[in-house]
Amino acid sequence: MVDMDAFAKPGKPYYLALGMEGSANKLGVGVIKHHLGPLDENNRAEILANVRSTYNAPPGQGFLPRDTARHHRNWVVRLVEKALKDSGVKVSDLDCLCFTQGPGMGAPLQSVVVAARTLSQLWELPLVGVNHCIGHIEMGREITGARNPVVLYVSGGNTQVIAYSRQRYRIFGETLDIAIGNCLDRFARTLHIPNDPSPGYNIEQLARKGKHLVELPYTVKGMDLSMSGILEYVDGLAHDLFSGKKSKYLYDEEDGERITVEDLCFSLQENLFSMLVEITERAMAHVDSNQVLIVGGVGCNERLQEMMGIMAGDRNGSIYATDERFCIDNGIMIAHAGLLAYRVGYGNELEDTVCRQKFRTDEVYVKWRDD
Amino acid sequence: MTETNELVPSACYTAPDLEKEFMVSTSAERTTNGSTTGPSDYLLRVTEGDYVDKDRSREGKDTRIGRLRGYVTSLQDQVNVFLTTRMNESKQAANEKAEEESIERRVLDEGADTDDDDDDDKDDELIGGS
Repeated sequence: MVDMDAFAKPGKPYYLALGMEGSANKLGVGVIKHHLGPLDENNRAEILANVRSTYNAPPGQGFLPRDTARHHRNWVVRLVEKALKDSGVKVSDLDCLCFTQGPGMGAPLQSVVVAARTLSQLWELPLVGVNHCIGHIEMGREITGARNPVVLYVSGGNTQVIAYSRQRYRIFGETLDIAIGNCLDRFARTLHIPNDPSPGYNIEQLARKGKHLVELPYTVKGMDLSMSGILEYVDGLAHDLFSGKKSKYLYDEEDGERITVEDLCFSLQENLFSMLVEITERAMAHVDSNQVLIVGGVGCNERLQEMMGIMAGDRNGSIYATDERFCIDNGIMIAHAGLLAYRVGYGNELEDTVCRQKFRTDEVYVKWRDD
Repeated sequence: MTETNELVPSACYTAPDLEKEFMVSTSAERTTNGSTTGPSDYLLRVTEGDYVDKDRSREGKDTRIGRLRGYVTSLQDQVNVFLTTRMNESKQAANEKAEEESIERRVLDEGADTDDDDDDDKDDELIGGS
């Protein structure tokens, strides 16, 4: 059993941590409370505040590093103030300040790191750098109560199938090129649909109205998958559709009806999600697990949850998913994972707080678990 | 708050050919929305003047830290303008040098080779060298 309280402040029965996230276009700040002792069903982490602000680019555009970083810089103080107000916590009662150290986009990461360093010096609090993916996994486990699931981490920048083994979250399979969320977001750009609340959400709504399944390339490579070719293909179909071409691929084989934008969204989702289901099922068979935990922004997608649920049901298992508060990037997951690390002695000196765009999930030594 | 306690930032740029100090004046008007820290030119261009900036910084407070924020914005503007000019100058110098070399090469090549297309020459070299 890991001693989670070796670094507790004498006489204080709980820990408080503030977490800051800004690895992509969301800026999030959260405050979490852990009571002494290991976390379990009877000792849950308490979410005291979880606030977020999203930078949305205009329709047809992606979020660029410079403007995203500017959004984070200009909003971070307001968000920290709001999180402290919501939580009712005094700065002097905090134990540590957690921030996303990577992976992510350089300029947005950097903005948040600078804010975290500044606050750490102003408030004289230790800093804890957190791997973004570990944040998602630990928060997912805490919220859903899944103890040792296969984790499907799907977002705008990441696509990984992960399983825990001997104090590492090990990557079983992953994308070989672009992330699934990136594939969906870029298709949304081709369609010129709004980025608000998120491009993936808008695709999901259109997909619900799709009736015809258009055949797209299916590119699972062992435990990995590739999505850039699929995007190129479906982008081509959309361009042909908009330019009024009469290609035979734009008519349904059975009823001869013309394919619509909704059909393309539906087909893209079905195709990509089937690929994810395949590699996740194989990972479950490998590690002999019947739990799947879906985390990351794309994890909000109800169709993905449904498809994964059918597969898990066939294996007498179950899926665990969270809602948008925890699926989509947020500050509370950084506070939670950072606090777990802090409780077993992790912390970053100021000179070790440089952020890293590449920071793989399996680089982190998971000292707070020993199962 | 006494003047000695005021947090006043400065910056120093050092290059082999140049040293420059950047200072801010504590009496100048302060802003938290600098001339170089607005939305990117790209964003303004693609939205064709319709961009609604929802991400402006808040006005600074008149506290020690609030004033520092204003000074840093002004310092950042100075550094940004200086470095952008310097980068443009070095880019221009590089272009001029490339242009000169290309003229020189064309003049030399004309005597030896009837083929006056530079790209073709490059291809020939590659084929010959492989």
